[in-house]
Amino acid sequence: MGDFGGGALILAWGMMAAIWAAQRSGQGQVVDAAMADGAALLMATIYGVKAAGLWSNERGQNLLDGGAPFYGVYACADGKFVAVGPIELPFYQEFLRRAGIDDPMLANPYDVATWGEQRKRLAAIFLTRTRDEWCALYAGADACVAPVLDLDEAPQHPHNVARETFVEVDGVTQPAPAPRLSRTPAAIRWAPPLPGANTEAVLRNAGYTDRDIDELRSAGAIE
Amino acid sequence: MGPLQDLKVIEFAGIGPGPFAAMLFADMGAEVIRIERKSAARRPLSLLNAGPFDVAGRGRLAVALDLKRPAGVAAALRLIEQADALIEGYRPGVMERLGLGPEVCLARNPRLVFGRMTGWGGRPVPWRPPPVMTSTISRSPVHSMPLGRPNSRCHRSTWWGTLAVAR
Repeated sequence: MGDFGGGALILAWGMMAAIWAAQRSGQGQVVDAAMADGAALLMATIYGVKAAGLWSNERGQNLLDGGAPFYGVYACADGKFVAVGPIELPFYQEFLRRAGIDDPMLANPYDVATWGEQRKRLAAIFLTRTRDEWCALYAGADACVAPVLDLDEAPQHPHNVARETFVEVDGVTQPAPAPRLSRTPAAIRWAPPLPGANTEAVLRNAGYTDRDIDELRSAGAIE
Repeated sequence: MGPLQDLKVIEFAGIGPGPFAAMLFADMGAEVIRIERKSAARRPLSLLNAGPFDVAGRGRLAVALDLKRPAGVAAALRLIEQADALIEGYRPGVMERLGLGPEVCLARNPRLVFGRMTGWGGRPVPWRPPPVMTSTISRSPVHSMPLGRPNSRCHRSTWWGTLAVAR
């Protein structure tokens, strides 16, 4: 979240904005992307909800920070995990129904005072089946239960396969570029090069002659 | 003045990532016109609606249109015609049903950049694999698995449900 969400993405975004302005004005500028700033920016929406009086400053007390029993990750019998998120009552009721849960303590998901106890009980229930058994139980249901896939499983999930979210380059499975542009799509152009793999081509492209390059090599400037 | 001061973006109001993206443009100085129902002001405050405290909504020009009326859609299209970009985060197909889908908008404004924020991607999948740049690029093997998709109805509904959290 820090390096890539609040860091790299914010840098790339800020640079594109500045590049756009430079194209129009002929003038560049410095883009200073501090991960601390970017990470703070990612919290903008939550600061709004807090200002509205609806977000507790204490961890684990809020709907989306692990506080709510119906919005979080639970360990299963096989040590794998499911992600559970039936925030709305009809989905939550379906969630209970499919699992055959009729514990009255779990009937009111919005009773914040009993969240701790509800989480404990749901945690115990989820430990009674494997992750894939839970997912089979919830297949096709609007109960907002999804498997947490590991790094090997994620590329194989049918949704990701259908969207070609992951590709393989020189045997390395990796995410495809995002987002997807309809007219000028992004593409992985090649696998990471070893240092110096492109020295001559780049320099020639920059206007250096073969002789220049030889001189640079003799001087130890290029390796 | 921000780097995007000459840019005009039309934002269709939503929750979560769409408005955050629009905020990024607004912070950079773009003119971001947000289209929503006037009744949005009367919705109760909730985790999904910070109302006047909505930090992610900063820097917008707020336009109230009823997109269920043809005249409302026509007004939206007029704004889109004059814009550089559009951001929407509705469920896939909603903009099309409103008469504001990419084909309609790009026909009116060929230079428009139409930004679509979704959880799982639009339907049908609009993206075709890019041309293979080297012979080393291949796809990972497909394993057979029972077909099941993420609970997308749930995911989208959790954004669009109004939820009052009792405190």
